[in-house]
Amino acid sequence: MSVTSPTPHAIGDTPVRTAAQDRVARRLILAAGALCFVLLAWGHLGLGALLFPPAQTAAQQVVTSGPLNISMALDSGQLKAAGTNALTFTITDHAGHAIKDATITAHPIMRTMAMDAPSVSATPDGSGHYIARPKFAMAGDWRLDLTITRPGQQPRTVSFNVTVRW
Amino acid sequence: MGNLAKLYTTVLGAVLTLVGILGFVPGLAPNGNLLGIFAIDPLHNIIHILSGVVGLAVAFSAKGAYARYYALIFGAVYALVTVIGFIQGTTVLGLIHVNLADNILHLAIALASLGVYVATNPSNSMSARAA
Repeated sequence: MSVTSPTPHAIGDTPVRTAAQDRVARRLILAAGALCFVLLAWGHLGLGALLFPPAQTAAQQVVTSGPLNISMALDSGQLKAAGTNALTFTITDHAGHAIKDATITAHPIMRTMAMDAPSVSATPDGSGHYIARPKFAMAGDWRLDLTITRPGQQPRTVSFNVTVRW
Repeated sequence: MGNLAKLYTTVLGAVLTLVGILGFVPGLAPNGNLLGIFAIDPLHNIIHILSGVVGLAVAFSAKGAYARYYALIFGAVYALVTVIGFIQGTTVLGLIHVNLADNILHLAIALASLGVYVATNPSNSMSARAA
């Protein structure tokens, strides 16, 4: 006795399903998988930042840590992913005197996902300015954690929020 | 073998949903690391919940008739996620992706899902009806 495959599908104790129902169910599953991947691409591959670039980073920011004022200026303009970026950090005390003996390390960390970039050392120019050239792998919201070390003192850490565009 | 696909989809759906929900519990994800191991963020949690809920829906709909198809689609998605995750960790800029544990977990999910899809191929079933 031959057994044909009926339409709707009815095999064993499985419920009867029409071909149309099959198509809808498969397309829904496929759409759900595609949505998961699009969400991943949007956030973790920078698709969202490509289509909707983040707001520009403020050209200059200032934070205070104990007796120090630390300012950050974007020398190269808006920060770019996989490009050359230059930042100048200026350290002064509250009286406005330049701090020239600090060692600064900048550690970029992405704020929206678990990703960071290699730390870079800022090069002093001898007048209280320190130039760093961080690299970012992708666009989005980042944070720069600065570790400031001075002879005979405990290291201080300050953070600047920045945005990176493609 | 169809029961294997349904069982797998049920378990995977429940685990992914639970992991996604737990990712939003601050006490369980200190410093953005779930259980101190898996780096997560809100987007990750949403993706886990979405894929988990879909899995549970598939497992409990039509008596799991589409479980095998779910295993194929999401096996492919997690395989792609794994590849991208490893690529992001080895760029020419030397950027460090601290998510190795996540990459390995995603790889395991991809292999298991695609393995279930292959293993539950109806043409391999001993109960296949002869023509």
